[in-house]
Amino acid sequence: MTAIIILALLGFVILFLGAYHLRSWLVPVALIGVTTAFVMNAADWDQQKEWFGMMFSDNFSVSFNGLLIFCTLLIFMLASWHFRNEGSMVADLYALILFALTGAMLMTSFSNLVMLFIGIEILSIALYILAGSRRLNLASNEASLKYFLMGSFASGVLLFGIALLFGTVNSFDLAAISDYVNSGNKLPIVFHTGIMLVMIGFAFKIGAVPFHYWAPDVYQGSPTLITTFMATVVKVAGIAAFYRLFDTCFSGIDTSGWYQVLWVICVITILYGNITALLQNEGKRLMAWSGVAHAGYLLIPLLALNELSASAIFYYTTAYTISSITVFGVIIALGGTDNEVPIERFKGLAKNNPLMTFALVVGMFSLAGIPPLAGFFGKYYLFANALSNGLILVTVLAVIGSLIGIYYYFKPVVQAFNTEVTPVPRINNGFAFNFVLMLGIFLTIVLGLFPDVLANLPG
Amino acid sequence: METSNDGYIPVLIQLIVAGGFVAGTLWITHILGPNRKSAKKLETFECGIEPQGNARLPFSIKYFLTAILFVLFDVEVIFFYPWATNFREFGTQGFVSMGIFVSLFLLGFLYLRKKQAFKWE
Repeated sequence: MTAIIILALLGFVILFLGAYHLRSWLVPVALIGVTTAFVMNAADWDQQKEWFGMMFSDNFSVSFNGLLIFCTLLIFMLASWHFRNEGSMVADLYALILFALTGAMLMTSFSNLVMLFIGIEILSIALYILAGSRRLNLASNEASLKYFLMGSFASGVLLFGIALLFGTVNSFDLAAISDYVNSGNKLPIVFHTGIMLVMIGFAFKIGAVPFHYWAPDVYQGSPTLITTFMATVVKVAGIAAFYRLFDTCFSGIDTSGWYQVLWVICVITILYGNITALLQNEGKRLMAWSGVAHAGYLLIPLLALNELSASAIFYYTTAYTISSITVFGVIIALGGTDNEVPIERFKGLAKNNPLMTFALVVGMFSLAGIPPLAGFFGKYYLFANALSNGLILVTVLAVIGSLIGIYYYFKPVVQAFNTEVTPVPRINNGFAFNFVLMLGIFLTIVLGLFPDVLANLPG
Repeated sequence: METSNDGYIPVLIQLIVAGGFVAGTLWITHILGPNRKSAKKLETFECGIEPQGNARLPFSIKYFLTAILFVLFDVEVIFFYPWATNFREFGTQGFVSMGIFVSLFLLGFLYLRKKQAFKWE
């Protein structure tokens, strides 16, 4: 809770630093502020606090908030290099990222549907602007407009769902909804419709098939750093909120309701995401489709919903975000401010850029789920979690999906070791950039070797 | 608590009527109206001046900016009325909450001033 206040105020401080043209202060202040927020968030560990009947902080929210803040910290370190040629607007971009992070943190700790909706909107509205932050670039404008139109529509659907839930339960409070579900009454159709509409809203935000169609264009058109933010922080916040709502409120409903719909969404997301990613020849689109597929894997624990599901999601999202940031770091370094980073750009990377190549190999292998990297154990926990609830068919299909995935994750890696072309010249992006890559590599390997460190965190 | 779906049947009827009106009107105009297609018909303005150039032109957003800032600060005032009428009941906590709300707005105002959003020249 203190962390949320710190981040919101930090956004204002950054805005004013920008307005007074103190550009060199931006990154240090942002990094110090975000680190403070991380520490304050960690101080809430093992305490259960309720805030005004709107928010409830427990180990689930603290661990996910920690992950979100950590990802933003890594993204800020990449930002100082990525935004080096940006004009006077750069402070606004940092501030918007911080406001989006505040919204994301509300989404992990809500105990009231109103707070959930406000969190989603704070996150989304900041992102609509960030997606179009390269103002003179048509692709960026297009991404922003597409994201805004479809995102606001999805928010409308979510809000309608919340209204229908309120119509039956007469309360926005998660505990009241949970009591209503578990009271043993026959649930009216309107209640089930409300769950479906809320589910559609969430599926849009995390980019699950068939509500994923915005993802490739928006990911490609946005500045790559914002794409990184969307692929990591937004997805983690979306899935955490999705899990929190469904685990608290709707786990008592028998399998005839929302369960079957989510089952179908989960399976087609995994298969469709992986198969479409096979056809991509452009780095950012490839990562967008890979993100769609990962959203599918992350839906598996929502089907299982047992006491280990939260841990499985947490471990998986940690592995996924850290690997993604590592890979996106390489894409940012290669592509600069370009909208497209075709796979051919990776050709001959290995010769002069050993660190970047190593980062690419580790990140891609982890996303593909190759042992002993973090991504492998993420998948292992997910599948073990699903199997303990007897979800055999989903697990088999998910394994097939990740086998397909290995092919496209290897495409850029194979290109990097291509020796028949003139090698990519040495790219030096400064200390912070290399530090992020090294930290990403280190964490991906260490989390793979010692998965117990994080395995039972959200409890 | 016993609930049934009966109360929602008017909502369903309303949905059907709303959807049916749109579909029906479109269908009837399609059937009844004459159907002529020519290059002139498909122009942006069927009569009047011919459109020239690209729609992506730089234009002054001063008025737009002022208008939207007016709306923003105008809406803020609306929150004051219920607070002011219940000032006594809210007590100190209400005063502090409103103080935080107003100071956030004031920060926004100072930011806009510094960014010269109010400068017309």
